[in-house]
Amino acid sequence: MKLLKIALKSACNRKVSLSLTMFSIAISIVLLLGVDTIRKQAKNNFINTISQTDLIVGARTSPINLLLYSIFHIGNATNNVSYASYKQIAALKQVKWSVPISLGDSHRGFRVMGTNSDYFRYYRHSNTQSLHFQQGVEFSDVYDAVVGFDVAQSLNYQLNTQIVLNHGIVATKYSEHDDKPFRIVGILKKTNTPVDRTVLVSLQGIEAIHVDWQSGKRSALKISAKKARQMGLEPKSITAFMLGVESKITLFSLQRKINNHPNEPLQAIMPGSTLASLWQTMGQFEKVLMAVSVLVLFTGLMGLLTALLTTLNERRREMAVLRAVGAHAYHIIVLFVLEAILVVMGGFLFGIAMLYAMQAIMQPILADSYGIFLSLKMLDGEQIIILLVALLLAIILSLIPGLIAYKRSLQDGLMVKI
Amino acid sequence: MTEKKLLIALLGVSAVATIQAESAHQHGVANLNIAISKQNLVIELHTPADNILGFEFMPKTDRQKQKLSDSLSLLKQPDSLFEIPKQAQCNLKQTKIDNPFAPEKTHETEHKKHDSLDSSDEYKHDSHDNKEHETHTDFEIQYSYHCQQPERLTDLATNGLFKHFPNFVTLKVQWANDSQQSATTLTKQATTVSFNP
Repeated sequence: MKLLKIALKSACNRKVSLSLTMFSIAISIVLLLGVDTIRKQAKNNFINTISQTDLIVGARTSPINLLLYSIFHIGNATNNVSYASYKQIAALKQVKWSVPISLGDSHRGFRVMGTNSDYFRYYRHSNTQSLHFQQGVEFSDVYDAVVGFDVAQSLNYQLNTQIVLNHGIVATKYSEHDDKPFRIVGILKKTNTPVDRTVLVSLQGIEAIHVDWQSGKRSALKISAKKARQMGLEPKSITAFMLGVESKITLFSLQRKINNHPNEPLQAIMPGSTLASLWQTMGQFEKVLMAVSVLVLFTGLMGLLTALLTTLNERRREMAVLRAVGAHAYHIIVLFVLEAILVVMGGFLFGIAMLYAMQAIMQPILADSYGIFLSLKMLDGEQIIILLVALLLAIILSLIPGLIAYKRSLQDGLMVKI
Repeated sequence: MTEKKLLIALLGVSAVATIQAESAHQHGVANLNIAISKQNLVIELHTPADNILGFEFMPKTDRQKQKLSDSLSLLKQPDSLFEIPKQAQCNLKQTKIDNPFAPEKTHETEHKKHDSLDSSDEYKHDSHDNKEHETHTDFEIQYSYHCQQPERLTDLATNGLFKHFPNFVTLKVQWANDSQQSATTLTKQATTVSFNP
């Protein structure tokens, strides 16, 4: 205890250089734990976003691309699927259920997704969770909308709020579908998936707001909301659709059949296996990132060693005095070890605090742009082990200046002048 | 926060770089699909003929003909290619081999074969014209099993396949059971696919 007090007081005398060292360790901790956290949470997020969907069908593109734009709302569709093909495939004997997805519009930065009521029945996330309503019900009218939890919260929407959808992903004044406002009839509970940040409307609703639009611009012929309601409103095309099979045995033959669809080039992907191959590729990048982070931590620890070694000269008298008043040889070494522990632990605490602060700041940005939902979690076992290993390394490194100081203190104590 | 941005950027890069699920004809590479549902197990192997025969044309010499018949008889014994856990008690029920060089095969039988493979065809394979037929040099093989203890079906080894047909380099595996689906890549070094990721 006494030694700790001495170590603290001695460290206080060199607070600038030591706090800089502490800061560099803190930064390396942010980097290391940050990469690890993002890696794990992104993976979890992605895996939890879609479950129990056997196939996703869309235009021919890379399977990952199809999965990202249809389910995670990252990037844009390369092409559409004709509604006729959708109905043809949905009617196949092997298909148990299917849910159409129509993307392309937005509402104040949130994506709008056109679908039908089967979405609420069959969409599953986090293994077996279905969608639940916090308030209200699913859409039934053409101009009804259901909003995700984050949409309602960040825009402060209640039931019956009127909202105007925007043509395209980027909001401009000229692209508003302001002649056909939607009414919020339901607010979903939080799911930690991109659904939270989505406005859900019926396919008819999407069709209705586009009846008087031609090639991305509003045509001169305006059709009122009321009039549009009476039109057929059968969509011509959708972005993609999800489907479930009656028996997994037929899954691959169905996939092949869709891939060879005669009328239109289509692609059916298995979301689970597509995610698995995404992580296979990501695994390589993850390793590189982790290696870089470990090296940065190592640099931080080397900085600590340097700081301890460079002060050795300044502290000759300190050590000599301590020895003169009866400190054991090992006391000198313990002083250095204690100092290293203090700096590293301080760096850890500071780093973890910075990490949480950054996560809190980044949370909405990451969710917005990349569909990754970070939740502030306690450090997991693996991360604690990383910290303990770093601490152990620091202790081992601090033995070097400790031993040098101990050796010198024997001679220094006998010298009149240093 | 650059590391996070980097990660996101990489995510985008890999989205472009990742392989197609059902890839085009590429020697050395083959697709293996495994479906498990209730007591049924189906293993499908789609491979360029080169992986199995070492050539991709109608066999002409006696040696080539011999090679074809040898390979076919090997393919008819999946026990020598795939190792299914014994505890699962799986029995082979049916084997379908779509051999591109079957001498008796005509355009019509090709159709029938396809129809029987996907027994519930709702629309005809109109796109199968002769031109496509000429370049069709892939084996499509399907094994159907019935398993007494499907819950013991925890993995499947493919050492036999790599051993008997050394031209195989990578197997792109997709699998699905009643609760999950995943994918992996097998090589001569890693020959076992595990169904508990």
